[in-house]
Amino acid sequence: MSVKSFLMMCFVVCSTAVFGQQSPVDRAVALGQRGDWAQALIILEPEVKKMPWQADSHAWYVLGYVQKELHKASGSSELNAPERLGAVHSLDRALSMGPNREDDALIRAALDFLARSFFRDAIDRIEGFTEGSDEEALALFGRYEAIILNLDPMANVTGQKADLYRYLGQANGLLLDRQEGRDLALETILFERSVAHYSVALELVPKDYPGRYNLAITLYNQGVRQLKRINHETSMFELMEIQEACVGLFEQALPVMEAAHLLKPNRLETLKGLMTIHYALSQQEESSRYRDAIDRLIEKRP
Amino acid sequence: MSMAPKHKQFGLRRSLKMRTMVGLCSAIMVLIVGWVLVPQQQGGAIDDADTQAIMKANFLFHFAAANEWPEEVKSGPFRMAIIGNERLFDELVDKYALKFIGAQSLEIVYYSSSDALAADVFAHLIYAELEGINLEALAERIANDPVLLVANSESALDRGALINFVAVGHLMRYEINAEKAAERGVLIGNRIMSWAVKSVQ
Repeated sequence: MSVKSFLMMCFVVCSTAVFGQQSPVDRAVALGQRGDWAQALIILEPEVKKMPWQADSHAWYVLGYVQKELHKASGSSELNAPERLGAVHSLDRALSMGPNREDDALIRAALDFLARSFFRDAIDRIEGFTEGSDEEALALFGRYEAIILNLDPMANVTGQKADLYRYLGQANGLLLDRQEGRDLALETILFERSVAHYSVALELVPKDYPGRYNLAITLYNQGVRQLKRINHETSMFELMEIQEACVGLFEQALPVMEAAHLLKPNRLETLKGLMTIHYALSQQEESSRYRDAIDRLIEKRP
Repeated sequence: MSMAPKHKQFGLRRSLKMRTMVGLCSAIMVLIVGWVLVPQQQGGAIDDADTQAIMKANFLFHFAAANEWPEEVKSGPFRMAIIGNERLFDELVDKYALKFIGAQSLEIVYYSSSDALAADVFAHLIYAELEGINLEALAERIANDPVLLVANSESALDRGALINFVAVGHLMRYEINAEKAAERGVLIGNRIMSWAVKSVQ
């Protein structure tokens, strides 16, 4: 055996010995460095369920990180995507074990990333909104909120939550507009959901102009939607009934639009809204008053 | 204290940190872009349909269908003239034109003012957005004809209208001078009478 061969053999034996002594965490890290997150999970996941790794914050952090990377690779935006839920669980556990300072910052950053991914997916649900996806969007936001509050119990997500509810109100409203009387039962459901979402948004942030304005528009337009169904087959009795239902909605819309107007007194759309609602309520003088205000506002504009 | 061997220096720690920071930054960017893309101000615009015109049009259709005109005007089209309310005219044309009033098909005509009302064209029902002496003048002009003059102004019944729209609270209702209508040969039907808020008989 040549010296060269011996040295080579020693190197191989030493390397094997060193690899054999590597902890599962080290091995997962090494695999992660090569981008083999799936193998890293296979090695690490069973180990953290046993002692001594079960009580090791860093091991849970590495597992959480691996799961997070697997989630990213999967591209899933599902509410219950297992890698994302697993990552949150592992990172939460790592954080609860009192990690060292460096790990603490990294765990928080990873959780923050996951929280924002839930938030982003909630927004995506609204952008591509389909009937009935309200609950999923809210659940995704709920996951975001839970992580953020876990990271900082004093954090305030009220504004974001109000925005989310308002967007849900809008999303249902847009579907409602597209219905054009095809499905009256669905129309009622969409209208009620829209109003309910706006109402929650306004409970959270009462002085929200878009929330007030949109709620008023939703109520008013629903009244008009009923009126537009009137035709030559409508009996006098039905006409009176429809009229009462519509006026009820117009009456609900008025104080909401007035509250929006108080928040932005010179906004043209609100003035137009008030002019229109008063007109629909047979209040010609009030309607004219807002028409004059609109004219004055337009005159002032350059 | 953990019994597990602590993970010491390894390249991935720095790598993990870097990846975390890069990931965080891109997540924030995506979030900001996403938030901006979602409409911030308002959902739909207010529906600018003329609600009063929709209701009035249906009332007028009922006034045409549920009252009785003399036999001599029961041939040819049933003519409804609208003076001074173009949106009401549009609504009527859209939903009620050519519908049948008994055996007569409904014809709807528009006049911008009562002066433009053609003297030689008989209208069974005239809706006029007139008030005061202008309404009185129109009422006098058609006083001897079986024409149902409908208005929407204060004291319109006193000024010659046979039916006048009034607001009761926030609801649109109407009052009737059935006696004068009968004098002109137009019999107000029971259904129309029963929904009137005030009727002179």
